[in-house]
Amino acid sequence: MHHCRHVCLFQHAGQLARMAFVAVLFVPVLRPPTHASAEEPASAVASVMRLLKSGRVPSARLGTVIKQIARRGNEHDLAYLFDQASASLGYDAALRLEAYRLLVDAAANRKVIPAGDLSRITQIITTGPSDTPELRLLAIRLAGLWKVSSALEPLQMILEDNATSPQERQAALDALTAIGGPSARKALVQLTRETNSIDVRSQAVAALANLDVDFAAERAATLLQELGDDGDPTVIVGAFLDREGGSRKLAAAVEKAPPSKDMAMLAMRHMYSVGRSDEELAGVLGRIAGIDANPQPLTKQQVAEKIKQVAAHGNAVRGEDVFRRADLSCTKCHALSKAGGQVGPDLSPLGASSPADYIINSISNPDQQIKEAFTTRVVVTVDGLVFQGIVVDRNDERLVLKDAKGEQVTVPTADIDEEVEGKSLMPKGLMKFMTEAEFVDLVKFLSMLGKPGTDYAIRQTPRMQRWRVLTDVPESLRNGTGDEAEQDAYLSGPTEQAPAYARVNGDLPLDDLATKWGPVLYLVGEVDVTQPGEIGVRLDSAEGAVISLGSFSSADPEFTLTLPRGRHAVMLQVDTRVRPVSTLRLELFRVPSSTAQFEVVDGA
Amino acid sequence: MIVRMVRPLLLASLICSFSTVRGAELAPKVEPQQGDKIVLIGNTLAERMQNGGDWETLLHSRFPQRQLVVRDLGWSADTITLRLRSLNYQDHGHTLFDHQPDIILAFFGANESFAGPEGLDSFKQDLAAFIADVRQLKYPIHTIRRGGTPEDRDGSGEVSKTPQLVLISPIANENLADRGIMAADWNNENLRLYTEAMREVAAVEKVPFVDLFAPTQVLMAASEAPLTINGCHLNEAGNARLAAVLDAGLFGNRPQETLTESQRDALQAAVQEKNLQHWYDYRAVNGFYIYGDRKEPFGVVNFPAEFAKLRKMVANRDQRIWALAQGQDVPEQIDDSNTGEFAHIETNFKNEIVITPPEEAVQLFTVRDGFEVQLVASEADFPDLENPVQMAFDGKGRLWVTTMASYPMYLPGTPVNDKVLIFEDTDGDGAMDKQTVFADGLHVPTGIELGDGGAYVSAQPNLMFLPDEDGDDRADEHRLVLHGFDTADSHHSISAFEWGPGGALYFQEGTFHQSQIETPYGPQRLVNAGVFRYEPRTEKLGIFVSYPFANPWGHVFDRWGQDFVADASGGANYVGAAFSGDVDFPRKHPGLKQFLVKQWRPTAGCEIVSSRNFPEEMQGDYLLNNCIGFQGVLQYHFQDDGSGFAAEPVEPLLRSSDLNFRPVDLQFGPDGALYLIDWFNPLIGHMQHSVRDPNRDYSHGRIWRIVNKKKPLVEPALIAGQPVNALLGQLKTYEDRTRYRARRELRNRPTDEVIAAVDAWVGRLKADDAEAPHLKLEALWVKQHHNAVDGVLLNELLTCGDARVRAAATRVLGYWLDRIDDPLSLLQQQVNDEHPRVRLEAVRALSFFHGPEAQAALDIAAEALLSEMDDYLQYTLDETMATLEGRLPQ
Repeated sequence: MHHCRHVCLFQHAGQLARMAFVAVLFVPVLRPPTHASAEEPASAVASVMRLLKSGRVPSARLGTVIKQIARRGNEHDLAYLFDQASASLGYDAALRLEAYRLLVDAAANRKVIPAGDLSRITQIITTGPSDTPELRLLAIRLAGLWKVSSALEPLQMILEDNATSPQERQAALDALTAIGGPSARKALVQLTRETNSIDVRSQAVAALANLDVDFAAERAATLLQELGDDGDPTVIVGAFLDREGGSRKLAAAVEKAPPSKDMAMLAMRHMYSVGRSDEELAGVLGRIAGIDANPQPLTKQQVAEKIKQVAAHGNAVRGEDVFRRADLSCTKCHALSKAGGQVGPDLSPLGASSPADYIINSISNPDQQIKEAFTTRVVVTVDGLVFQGIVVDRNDERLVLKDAKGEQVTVPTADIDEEVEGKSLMPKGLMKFMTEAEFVDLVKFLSMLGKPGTDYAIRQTPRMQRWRVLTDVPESLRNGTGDEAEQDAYLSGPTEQAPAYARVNGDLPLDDLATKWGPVLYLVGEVDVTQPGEIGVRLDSAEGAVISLGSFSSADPEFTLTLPRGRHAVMLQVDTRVRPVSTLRLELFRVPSSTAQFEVVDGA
Repeated sequence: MIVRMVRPLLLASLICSFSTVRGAELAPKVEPQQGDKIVLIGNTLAERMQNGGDWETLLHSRFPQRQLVVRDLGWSADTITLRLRSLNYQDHGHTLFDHQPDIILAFFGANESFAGPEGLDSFKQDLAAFIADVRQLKYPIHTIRRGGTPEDRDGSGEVSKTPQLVLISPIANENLADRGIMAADWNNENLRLYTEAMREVAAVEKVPFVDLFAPTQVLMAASEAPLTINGCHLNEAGNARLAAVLDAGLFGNRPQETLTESQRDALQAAVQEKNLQHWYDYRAVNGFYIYGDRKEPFGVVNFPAEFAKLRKMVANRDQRIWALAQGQDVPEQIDDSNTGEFAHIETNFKNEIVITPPEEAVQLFTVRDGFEVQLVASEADFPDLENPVQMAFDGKGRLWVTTMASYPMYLPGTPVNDKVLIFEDTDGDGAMDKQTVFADGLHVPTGIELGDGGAYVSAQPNLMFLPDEDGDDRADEHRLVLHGFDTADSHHSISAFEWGPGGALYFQEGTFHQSQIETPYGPQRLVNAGVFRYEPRTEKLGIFVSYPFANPWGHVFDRWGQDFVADASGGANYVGAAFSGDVDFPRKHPGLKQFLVKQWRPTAGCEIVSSRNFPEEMQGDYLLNNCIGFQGVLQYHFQDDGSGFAAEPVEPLLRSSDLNFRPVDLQFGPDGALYLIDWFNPLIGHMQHSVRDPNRDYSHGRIWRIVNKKKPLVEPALIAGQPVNALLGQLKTYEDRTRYRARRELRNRPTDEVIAAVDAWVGRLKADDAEAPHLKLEALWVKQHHNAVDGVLLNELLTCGDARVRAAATRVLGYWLDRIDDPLSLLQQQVNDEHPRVRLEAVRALSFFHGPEAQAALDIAAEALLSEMDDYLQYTLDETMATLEGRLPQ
């Protein structure tokens, strides 16, 4: 290995600065540095603070100005903000709330906390006006971020109160964990007892992993056993994955007190779905679930052999089914024709541009070739937390990563203890979840992607690829016995939805959806109209289907209508029992002479 | 690619000029022994010496029997403490441990001298440490990985012999007053100080020292013609004179010449040929695939044999040099049959390859209603049209294009022959019928733009200028004007050339690259992607955007000087104003929001619709090529988004179902049609296949144009050779590209004449002319092209009624800060403008202040908070504050 050390580049930066603008020397009148004052501590927002205190800032601009201060200021600048926000004659309610939010961001993202006495925050938790739960929530977060020990007691009371909202409970748990110490640990241990709900106990174990990882691992193993075959292990497993060395501790505990085979499988799947394949935990869970956890990388000969098999036996139709399988999570990260996850690259043109060996290697060893936009970093914080993701952004103060769930995480630079180049976010154990034949079919499917004239060609027309299926449809509507009034009542409120992706050729398979969500499905697609006008809608078969677009409704397979600018939901009510085909395909089309410009909405 | 113009050495003038600086008898400082290896390290001075080979020719003719091996490892902007290289370059075989030199000639001090008198002490300390290191063969390189911090790396091995180190001072700089480059006035005092410091340290450390500063200062003073290309780098004549000075400085008085003039020429040609092959090795393009993070799985297969062969070829050329130095005859052809074979490479591209004939390909387009795609040129009629990359139209309406048959890179033993072609439609039928080869022998020329009486072309890792002073449509010479743009990935190298409205040339490079470029204003450095801004007249090179792009490939300016940058690999598109404020290396701008939602990646090239041939409703729309997946031209409609812009997709202009269709550049032609460059290749991935995959296509290329059949084409404007006043008249033309080409023509006319004509033209504009603000802006830009500062016109436009003009004028002010009275007060006025775009431009411009003015600039930037903010303004304000904050006294 090469010896690496940091080199000082900044002396050169100074040179550069001078050289690039040698011209500055020729400015005829040099200004004296008029504004800097010796008493003020060095601050990046000294200019803004002066502006604020000058009285020149109109009240409508105060929010922007304090935002600038909170985003870049030092501990003294923040102390000023905290004073203003907590003084009775200080900011009005809205600005006060904004100031607290900004203080949370400054502490969480930049590790900057106000100078001076911070215990005032405890009073807001205990005596803060109950009609501003948001303020109280922010105060709870600040108590944790600022490690205000006087808040420990009120936090425990919040946790013990059964009426506490889940959001506030989580905030209190986080705060308690952040403050730490024996009494925090004791409070968390209390919460892991059987008298509490399984969700609360999972949360508490997850929090405890930060304070006493060995104890938490034991409790976690017990809880995983209690979760049976189909409970949700993600909070527990996630907490140990997020800690440096945590998954090893959990592996040891699970070894001693193994969960059910199915639970091991669920836990393993969660680990892979967040882009992790930690050796020990994968090994233990794999043994319990009965899966080979240690596949060897494919040799050149094996790759060549697989290419032959793909050519001889690969079936792209079956391969697409493999790709769509929930347990492989392919669609969580990868889009096809832009419909699907947005973490990895869209695979639409893959077969037309990438050879079979490249595809096989990318599945069996995702780390080998990574496009520059998808390289990752792994950071370990000083608190022992582990983050892995694609670098979205970084500056001197924080690093923003996009993780395997597509979520952005901000890590303050000051918290980063160790940082290394990461591997691909794609799980390495995918081949374990497939039979030989399934793998061959999958590769066949991927090699076909983007080939014109096939079912795998890139979408040429504005066709709905990403649907959302409504998942909380009342029983009466699901089985088709409800009436219009029930439907109106249901649809006028907020609904819960899950993504449903069409096959590459635009066909949305209905069977699985009907099995899961009922024979009558409610499906929503979206279209963005950027220039208003007449647009055509065409359904492959209207049998059993009713299309609604705003107040417009039709049982015809094809119609046109004029849409204003904006995003529109196209809703389909489909009775799969009367539909002659088990798929559905919806196309939008351009009406000759119409000036409309529109695009179907894709994405995750 | 290095360009070697084999020109006979003017021996008489050389000896003569040498004698003027000789003075007393010179004692030898170093004595090469039989078979010694001499390695040159250091900055651009050393790097450029290999091109002509003048000094090395003198060396071999002075020591004809000693069989000396010379390897020039000079590298643009290297200093004694910082040498940026792409990742793992130390594994490539060119560390000092690998070379085990007997003599090291170290050319430093030029870049270091920009630290001024206050940097002298640390320079002396660093130099002493450097000497100790180099004697132990320690000469590490530095790499900053994407998102990482600087790392230094070196080779390792035995120090079998302590090399003889010779320190060589920088040369003097010279004034080029007609271009406003007063490099001697600016830099010579510091260069002298650093030369003296080197002399002092050399004496203490007992290292031989050669002073080039004093003799070159004398030579420059005595020479009527410039000896440099830019005030600090020697031209051909300068290098020839330097060779004699260095030869004498190292080895003392020159003995009687033994070679005839023609023998010397043959020797020099052999030195150049050896240096060229060595250059292909030590400056190999695609290093990321040879020794970097992408050497697996393909590079490890083909490259070892290739570089083994190349190094044997270089050794063969050493022998040829020795023979010629001894006055022996050598065969015309070099026999490289002893250099080994290449590895056998099998394709991994199993798709059926169908080369669509042009007449079939034209049927495979789907275009928006009313449009038609027409074939303009193809390899069928013009076999030289192989892998075309970028185009430009000249003032005669002809289309220039670079071709890249050598892509992905040189194959040892097969000379490169990429070209610049000129296409002409002599009968006006829309199809090209005449081709002229303007230049050939090029290597992966990823970008081209015309101007200044020639063409600027990328010559990785350099920028090349191809002048055509005699107007015979054949480049007079291949002149390297800038050095040090990294080529870790040959498809990330400087590309997408575009003139800004004010006469700066912009080009872009992608990630992995570690670039360092010397200028008379000091070195500029950029790692992991960005956009460069180059003023050829003044030789200012700046980092316009330092941003962690993947691989930007597209840059376009609108009618009002707002610019848009497209990142190819990820398909991201950005508003240029927001992230082109100044940053101090190595800081980069953080993530900026994209002005459109990505539809398809990757993209290559962007353009704005400005053509009376196109429908009214499409005017001002943003066009974006996609070359994988969608394979067509995407289209977006702009609207304001606070101080920036947002663009929404409309129906794409065209797409093709031909999988070979790879649009990589697009531009409106003089006739108002949109022209498309089609790289045309079945296999397109750079990293997905071996660089030597047999299925890579090298022999096809197409040029298409898209015409709206519902409206007439535009009558092409007369530009080439037109009188200045007629060209100013063209600035009233509707089409952006016509005004672009008229400004480009005007920049090449005499400044006095142009400025006088512009002033008269502005004077004739009527106050009530609705177009007057825009025309005056055009006038301001023409003056900026000529580096002719006009505070009065600038002031008028900074406060005129059109916010778009005020914003553009604020951008110009940002580049004239050094020559406008009280620029801070003007920017304070702009920061409080009623329009957010003007405020954003002002905040951006404030990032360029240094020294005692940084604090005042910071205070003024903060005043932006007194007006309404938006995402773009917030971003630019944060960035300006971060930059200025870093410049406050600690």
